[in-house]
Amino acid sequence: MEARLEEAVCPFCSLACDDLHLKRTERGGVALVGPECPLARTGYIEAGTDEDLPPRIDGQAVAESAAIERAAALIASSAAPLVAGLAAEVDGVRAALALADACGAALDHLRAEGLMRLLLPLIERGAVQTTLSELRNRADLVLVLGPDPRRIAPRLIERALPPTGLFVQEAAPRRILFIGGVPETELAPHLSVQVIPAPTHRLAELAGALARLIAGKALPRPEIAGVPAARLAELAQQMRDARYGVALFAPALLEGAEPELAVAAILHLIQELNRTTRWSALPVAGGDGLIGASQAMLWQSGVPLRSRFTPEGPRFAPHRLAADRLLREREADLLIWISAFRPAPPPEASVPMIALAHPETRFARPPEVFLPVGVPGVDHGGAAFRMDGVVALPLAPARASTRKSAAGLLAAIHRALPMVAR
Amino acid sequence: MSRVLRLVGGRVYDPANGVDGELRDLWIEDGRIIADPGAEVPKHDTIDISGRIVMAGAIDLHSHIAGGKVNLGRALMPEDHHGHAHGAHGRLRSGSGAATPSTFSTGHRYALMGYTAAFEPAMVPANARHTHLELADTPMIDKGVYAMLGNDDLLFRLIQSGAVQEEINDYVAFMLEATQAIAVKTVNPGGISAFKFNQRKLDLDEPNAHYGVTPRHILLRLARAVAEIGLAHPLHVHCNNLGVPGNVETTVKTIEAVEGWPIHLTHVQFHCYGTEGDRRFSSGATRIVEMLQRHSNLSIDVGQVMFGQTMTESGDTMAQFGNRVLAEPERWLCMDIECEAGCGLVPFRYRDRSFVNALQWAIGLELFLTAPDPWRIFLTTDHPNGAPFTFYPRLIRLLMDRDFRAEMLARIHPAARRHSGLAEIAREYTLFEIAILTRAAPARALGLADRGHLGPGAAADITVYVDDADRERMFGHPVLVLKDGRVVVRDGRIVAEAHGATNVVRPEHDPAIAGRIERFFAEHMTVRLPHFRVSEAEIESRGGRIQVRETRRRSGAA
Ligand code: SF4
Ligand SMILES: [Zn+2]
Repeated sequence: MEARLEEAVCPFCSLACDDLHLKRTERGGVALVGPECPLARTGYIEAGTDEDLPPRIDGQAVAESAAIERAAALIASSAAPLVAGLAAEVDGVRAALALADACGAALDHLRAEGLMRLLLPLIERGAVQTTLSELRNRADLVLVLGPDPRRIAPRLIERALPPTGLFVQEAAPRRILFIGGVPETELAPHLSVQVIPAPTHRLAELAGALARLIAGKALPRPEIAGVPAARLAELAQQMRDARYGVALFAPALLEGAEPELAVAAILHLIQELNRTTRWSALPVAGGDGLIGASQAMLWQSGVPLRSRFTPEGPRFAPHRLAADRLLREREADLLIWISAFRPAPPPEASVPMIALAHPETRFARPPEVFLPVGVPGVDHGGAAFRMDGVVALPLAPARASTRKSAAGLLAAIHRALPMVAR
Repeated sequence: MSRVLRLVGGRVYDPANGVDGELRDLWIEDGRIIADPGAEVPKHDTIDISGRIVMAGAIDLHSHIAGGKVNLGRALMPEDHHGHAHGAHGRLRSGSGAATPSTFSTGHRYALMGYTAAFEPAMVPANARHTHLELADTPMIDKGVYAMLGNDDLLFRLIQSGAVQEEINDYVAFMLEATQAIAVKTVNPGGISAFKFNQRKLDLDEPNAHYGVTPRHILLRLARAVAEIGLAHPLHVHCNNLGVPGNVETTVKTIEAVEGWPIHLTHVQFHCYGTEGDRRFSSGATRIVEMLQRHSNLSIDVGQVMFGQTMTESGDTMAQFGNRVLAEPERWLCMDIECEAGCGLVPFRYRDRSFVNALQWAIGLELFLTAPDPWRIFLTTDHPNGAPFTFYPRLIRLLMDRDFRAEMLARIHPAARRHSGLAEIAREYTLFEIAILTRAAPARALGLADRGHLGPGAAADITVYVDDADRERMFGHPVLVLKDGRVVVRDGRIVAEAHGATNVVRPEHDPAIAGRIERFFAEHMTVRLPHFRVSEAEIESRGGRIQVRETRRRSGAA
């Protein structure tokens, strides 16, 4: 695929900005020219030079074929392999799933915690959701619940809330309200911003109170989570009066003992608002290919992440199959760690490890097999899903690189597996 | 040179070539059917299928198998997957799900029922890359997608700016190419958009609150565009007012609204309700049949309801928001999508003891059994909306076996039985007619010239059945299935995994439209046009194969 430096699609978070201008630096490096984004800037710097790094077995440089053979042998002798990290673009994930299916592995993603916080309430009740272009063109009122989602998607508001949209005119500027969080970086002056101070960890109560008010019921107490009932009633009225409201929140950033209760309360609130007007939720996810991994897992296996490929078929067990727990309880005997976008540290593990990881990854001890992989959207192409789960964008390489894609290496390991009758 | 294969002694049903149960051998070379070589018999392999029934591979022209809403359906119903999972087997991947099966399972199950093609009928253009990714992981069958248009702000703005028909045609042609689609579907034309402006219902002549454009106008513009750019398949229409008692009036008016341009009405069963009787809910089947008699340019698929648990997945957010109160289990999801469309998911259990569900079941069968022309009616359950596609063998038995039908009829809600004319219908479909409904007609309707028949030159997609009086067992378990000349199913087991083609069209259009659309994307959307477009190379890089189907540009009135 042809390398691209203009209108490049950014691989570093699930906003998937596709307006980046990049440049080449010395020794095959790639750097962000603009628009500015701290996450993207770091991502391209970390991708480093295009130097071809050798695979390693127990810390010693080896030929690729040797590393692949060793990886296949480790997998073949494992009774309970775990594929974790799973931070790859869609084709890398597809290859990882094929391998996992062949060897009966459990699957987790390094950002699955945030995904589960959304998914479990979704399975309970459903939701009303929207996508970025709807937000951009329709939202006259945006409610941000909890910590500023720009922590994990820096350009979210800049890209989604320009001064006007198809149905948003300059004469009636959009309002953006923060509750249980504050804007952590500057907001454009065209936005009318309000902050309702409230404790971040009590969003479930606040969203529940708003839902009561929307349903026409009174609040049981004069204040909820420290917010005066009158202020909440005013907010409820604003929400009812919105033509098209959007609730933005990042499940992964929510605090408190049971963040999925806050997500459930938010989803319920938004569903209720639709009795009389239009509101949608837009959960904001972070990077590392989480959304693509979640989507590919669902279509290939029928079940969400945190599942295991058993001889009876894929089994979803969200609580049991968290990678940390499996490793801690020694319910996995092999860790296949995949992290292509950034040098994410693998979890502590006393079991053997095959790492298909960013070249800069630091390990507590040398993995049994380390196959450095290229960064998607820098060294090779592929596809990346956006946070709304609807739009997938094509990734193109930003340099001519000899670094291998996770997809290619995983397929090679898969081919090297002896066909074991299961 | 590849070896010739001969299927010997089968009884062939090939309506496209007028063959009605004749004993004849089939000759296959390089994946295609060749003429009987006569005296000069080449070296060949033989499969003896004496006494077996032979048809072309079946084609499902409307089945929600891939893309955003299907995947949301999977996420929303872990129960559907927990109870229906299977492990990997040799090279075959594992999978799960009954109503919303995983992609590999979808392909495998279709092949095990003798289907060799299925078409995803509701792809939101913004979701095209996702849909094609899923299809890349759907083995065994040929596939294709219909692009959902008619609720997108781009089209509304074109209409509002006074675009002439030529421009609408260019836009439709462009969108088909950009999303690698084969046909155009419109879902609740104008209604999905209207719901975003908080309209809760939209009749054929009711204007969109923002644009002032009516569904009638959208239907006419799109139906004409589809005809003029020369697609084989007419505009594929999911009418306004889905599921609403009395909606047969809307359906009839929709047929008339397109002023003679060809039109296909999908899952008509859900759009075929009157308001007669003490429960104000009745069958409108006779009205639809009348329309089929009167309009030779009209075709339908049924969207048959079968009893049991399923998941309803529709682009029609307006209707699905209303249906949320019927959700079982109690959860529902609606989504507005990219200024183009939307989707709504409501899990549903159809019960034979429910008056409404039982009547829906009866209405579907009435449509099948009284339709005048088997070439213009297609066998669908609107998978999974009326039932999962795995119910097709039972549905075929209901059509072919009057006694079985009577048995089932005896079990449904008694008032529904009384309200339905089904008991008086004696018709039983023949094998020849089933072959029309499930092979010849859908192939013709989609312009798949080399599929759905067994004449020389056709692709060797072939299904062989045991002639079993129990038609459900027969159609559920073909003994042999060939995909492009290769045996893929034998005795109810997959013996080889095939990978079908993605069928697309490339209608001519003025490239100037791309500039206009590019500006719209740059100014308003959150994706730029080059990234919205799905390339052939992407599909091919994932092992796919593009099959371009013919279009015949035409102009002037119908
Ligand atoms: S916001 Fe996310 S996608 Fe956009 S440039 Fe920054 S890291 Fe990349
Ligand atoms: Zn449908």
